[in-house]
Amino acid sequence: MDYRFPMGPYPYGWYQVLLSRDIKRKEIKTVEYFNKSIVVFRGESGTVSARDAYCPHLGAHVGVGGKVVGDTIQCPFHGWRFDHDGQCVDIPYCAKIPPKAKFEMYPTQEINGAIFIYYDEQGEAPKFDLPVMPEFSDPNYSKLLHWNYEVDSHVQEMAENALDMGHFPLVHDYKEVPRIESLICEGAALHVRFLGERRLLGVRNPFDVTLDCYGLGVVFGRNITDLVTVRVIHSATPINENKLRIGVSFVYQKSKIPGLNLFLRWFLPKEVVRFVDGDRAILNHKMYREKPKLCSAERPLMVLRRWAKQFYRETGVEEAAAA
Amino acid sequence: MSDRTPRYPFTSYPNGWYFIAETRDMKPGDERSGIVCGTRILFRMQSNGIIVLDNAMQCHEDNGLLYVFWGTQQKEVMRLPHFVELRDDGWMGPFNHVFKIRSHVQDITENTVDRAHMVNVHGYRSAPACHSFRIDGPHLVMSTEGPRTMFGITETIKMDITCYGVGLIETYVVSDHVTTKILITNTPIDEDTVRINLWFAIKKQGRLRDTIHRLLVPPLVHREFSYDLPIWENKIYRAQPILCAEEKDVANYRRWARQFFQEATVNEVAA
Repeated sequence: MDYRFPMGPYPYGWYQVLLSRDIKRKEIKTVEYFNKSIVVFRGESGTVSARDAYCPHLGAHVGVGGKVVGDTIQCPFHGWRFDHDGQCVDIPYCAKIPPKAKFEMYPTQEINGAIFIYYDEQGEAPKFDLPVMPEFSDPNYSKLLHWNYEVDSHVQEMAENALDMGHFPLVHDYKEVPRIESLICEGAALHVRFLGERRLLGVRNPFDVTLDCYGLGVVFGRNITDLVTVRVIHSATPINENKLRIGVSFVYQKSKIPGLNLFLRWFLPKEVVRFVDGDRAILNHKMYREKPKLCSAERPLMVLRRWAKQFYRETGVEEAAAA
Repeated sequence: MSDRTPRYPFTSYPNGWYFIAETRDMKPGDERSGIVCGTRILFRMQSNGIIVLDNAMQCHEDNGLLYVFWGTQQKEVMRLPHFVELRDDGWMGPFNHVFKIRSHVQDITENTVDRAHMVNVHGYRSAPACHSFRIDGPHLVMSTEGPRTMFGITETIKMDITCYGVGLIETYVVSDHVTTKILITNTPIDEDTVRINLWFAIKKQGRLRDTIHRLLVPPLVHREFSYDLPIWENKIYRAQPILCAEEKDVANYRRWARQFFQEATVNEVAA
């Protein structure tokens, strides 16, 4: 498939690669993102790190037959062990460790029930962090529910889609276009709040949604309705130049009304699937218009595009700041 | 946006002798074919019992194994293994295991000189010592000795190894209890795939021992080899590996192997 976007496929930033519960202590997982094999392991202490899959020594894939020893990962080929910083700490047959024996690492943050890595093609240190959302460890909230799927798209398209109020009635069956209450760009974060109303089983159900985008890969969202408050992580992680894995993870505030929690457990995942399915076909096939014909109500889209420029090397942070 | 980058920074078809097929059960007039370096090669047995190819490549038959020479050098320069044990009454065999894997002949042969991997992959108690390491034109000759434990018994394993280019590895494996001769033939099938044949014969030592060896040795050889396969299939080739002081052999091997990637250089190396 030809690449169909004018901007680079991998803007730098944080990207979700696993859920915390996907990887137990002493476990190794290989994930395929950014057209690379990435090995994630959790040490005995519980710490998680992510690295290029291939040993700096003679190139073995440490995710195939590698072992976790304490807080190190041991290569299956020659038994060299490497710590969470990527540094070789033991060679079974050699006392002197070559200082260059170090893995290419991806900075890792494990928060809100998920594991995020920072990807920058140039390998520079993270320019921002992700915030902790207390609801994800709050006992008054449900346990994490998760849904994910693949789509042929670009991470920026996913962010644009979330801010594109005009598509809600037609694609997602809303009665009217939601109203943007505020839109704030703050460095690598973009905060948007919008209000609207849906009908749920014939009953009016007003909603108050806040989306906090951190880079183009991660959106932390909150949806407050009369029925329930839901906290969402919407993640978009490039598998390769043309394909994304979209993750939707959420927790909802447990209700005191008898039976309602059971209903929510059944209803909310269905809602997520329905929502996602609406976008999927359009995203799979649409093209990216650099100069879209927009009406005045669609100004937020251009705000987002200006903000998004900072995550691409070609444009640079300076240009985005000047814009 | 880049396409898939090649897995190795050099051709999948280095120069040298490659095993193509067995000829043991061929009769005069029989025609067969085999694939070497992406090329199907037809051969037939003449009425005088001699094998001929239907193209201009050089071939050689030894104890029922047929080899062809891929490349442009003189065939006299690179010798071929002489596997008399396959037909010798003093030896049991031939035994044969075949693997078809995603790898490169240079990587597979590199494993032979890589003594350090014997500990982690093959259960040696320590990396085998190297008694000699000699380069002789297109041949690499080495002998090693190291302790390994199997079924709770630790024994010393001695190996005398000769690599004929990167396609053929001949090894005498002598442990305290059994002597085996193994010939590993690595043949590139296409750009990504190598067919590995393990041919081996076990030295006879009396009826009781032979029965045990006949039962035990072939599956053990198969098992040892199967430990290497997932590593070979999934590794990348590091052109600039970070080696430690104990691993000079690997660097020397790579320098030696370079000759098989250039045209008509074997003669110069030998001269």
